[in-house]
Amino acid sequence: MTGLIHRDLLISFRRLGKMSYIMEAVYFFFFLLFFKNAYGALTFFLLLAPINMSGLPNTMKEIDSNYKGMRAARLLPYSKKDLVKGRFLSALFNQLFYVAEMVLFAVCHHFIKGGISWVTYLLFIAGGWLVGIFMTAVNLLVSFTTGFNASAIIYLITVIAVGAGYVLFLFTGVKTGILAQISSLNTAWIFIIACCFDILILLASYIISIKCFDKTL
Amino acid sequence: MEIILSNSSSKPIYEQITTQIKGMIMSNELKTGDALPSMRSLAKSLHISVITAQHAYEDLQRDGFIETIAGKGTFVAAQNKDFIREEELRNAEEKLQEAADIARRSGISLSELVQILTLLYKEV
Amino acid sequence: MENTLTVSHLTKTYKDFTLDDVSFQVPRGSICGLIGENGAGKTTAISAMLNIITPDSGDIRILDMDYREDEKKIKQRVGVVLDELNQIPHLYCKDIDTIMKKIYSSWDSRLFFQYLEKFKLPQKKKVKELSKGMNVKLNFAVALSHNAEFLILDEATSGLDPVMRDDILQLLQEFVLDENHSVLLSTHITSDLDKIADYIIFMHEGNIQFIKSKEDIENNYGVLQCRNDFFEALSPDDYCAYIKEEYSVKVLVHHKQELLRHFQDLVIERASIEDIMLFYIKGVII
Repeated sequence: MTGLIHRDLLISFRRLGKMSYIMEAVYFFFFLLFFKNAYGALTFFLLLAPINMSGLPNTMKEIDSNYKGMRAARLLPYSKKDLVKGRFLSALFNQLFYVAEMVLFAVCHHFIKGGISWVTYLLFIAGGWLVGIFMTAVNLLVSFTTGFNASAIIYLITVIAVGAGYVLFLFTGVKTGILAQISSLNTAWIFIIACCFDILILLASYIISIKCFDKTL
Repeated sequence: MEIILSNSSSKPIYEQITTQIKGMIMSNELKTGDALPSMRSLAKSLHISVITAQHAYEDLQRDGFIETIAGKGTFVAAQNKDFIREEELRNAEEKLQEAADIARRSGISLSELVQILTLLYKEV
Repeated sequence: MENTLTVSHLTKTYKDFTLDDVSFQVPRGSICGLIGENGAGKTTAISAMLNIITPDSGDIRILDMDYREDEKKIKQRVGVVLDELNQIPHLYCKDIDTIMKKIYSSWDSRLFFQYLEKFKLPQKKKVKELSKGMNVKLNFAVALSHNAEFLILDEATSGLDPVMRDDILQLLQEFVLDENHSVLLSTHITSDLDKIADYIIFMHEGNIQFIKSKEDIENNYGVLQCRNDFFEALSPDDYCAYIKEEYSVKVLVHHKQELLRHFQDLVIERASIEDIMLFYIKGVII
């Protein structure tokens, strides 16, 4: 399994190329330095990071479809189930890099801007990660059940949906003041429910992906 | 050791190999105890099937020209002079058969044939 | 283990093509050529043995293991080069080593880089910058660097110039210097097989037409060109196929030594694999 994860991560790394990592850094500093209040941090944690961390399924789907990546993978010493499992693990493992990036951002933001408690940072990071997991689960399912074009479109839709959801969240939040809101809500329960939801979606996505992939080819 | 194969010869490839190797052994180009390439590396060098190489080696071994020592390889066997003589006798008989057939067909008498053979034999 | 590969009664039905009850073996230590026209079923058979498609019925055993149950173990020991299936274009050649090290338990990095050097493949270049021929050589480098015992090649040399093809054929002959190594080479370039194959498996329209050793073909098969009256005088036992041409009859004989003994002046040419294939496809078979 580690072989497959290595493969997916290295291929994805090479496919994205220097430009996309430079852009990553640009966004990082942009949201760090150019926003007042917490909006920069919020946007980074709840919009940018989830979108970035859920890109692997789509990147690998392009490799699989347009460069015969899946055909090549079928020749490797793995079963079909292994290939699905490997892809899921790669996608989740990939997120750890972005979680680390979020932690780095939190630390920098704290020292540059201040004004947000560590607990709140933690909640933002956890929130972003949960959104990221949700998006990844959906994109993994789509990559194993449809073709490349459909996957790309649905990826776009999830990005837009998350964007819209974020904007909505901001508007409702603006009225009553986000930070005050967050500390007053019963966040523990919300997070537990969100976690369970994500786990369920991941499991469902995994099971359906395996069933679907088993039937193909 | 040099072996030249011809695709257009009517002789099967394995026979071309055995003939040439036998020739080299008889002319002492290949001496007793000399190592021969393995069957597979012979096949590779001559660009032939392993089965053909195997066929050639099997024939050579059967006729006593080479021997295979397990773990060591294939070597030129100590020549059993009688064996060789048998082989050459067979060869000569074949050729004489041809001559006899031609003679019978074209009405050449036995005495005429013997005369020719005697002359040829005495030639150096 | 007598046979590296045993295909038994393999059947797969598609809309307009059926692989029908196909059986053949690849004996250990041999190079077997799988020949046939495009669409004869060669790639279908190969896809089945790699568990890329599921046959309707039949059994396949590779290296004495069931092709589906022991798929992972088998693929650790089998090297595959398929036509137009190259490495991921965005990777550098040295990336491939990094990846394969973690995938194959017997991956030999030193050997892989030796092959890269031998084939003059630049480590620091991306796969997409390599020419077609270099891509094929890279595929072979990968297939040969994890101590595989069995190579499955599907049109692996198509599109290569004759010099490169000769290089690859030499590589294959080197591969079988070890008698535990075997090769299944599916191709329509029969001249390559004339050079290195031990056995020929001929597939046509989803069926096996014949399986013969190259020895048998070389020693016993021949092409005779003769006049019609001579042909009519031959007994059907003397030949196995014929093609009536404009000014003569071309006959595929399968006991040419015998025929030459009876008719000493007969000119019988050596039958190439391509000759035999054409006789079976275009001629009348007895």
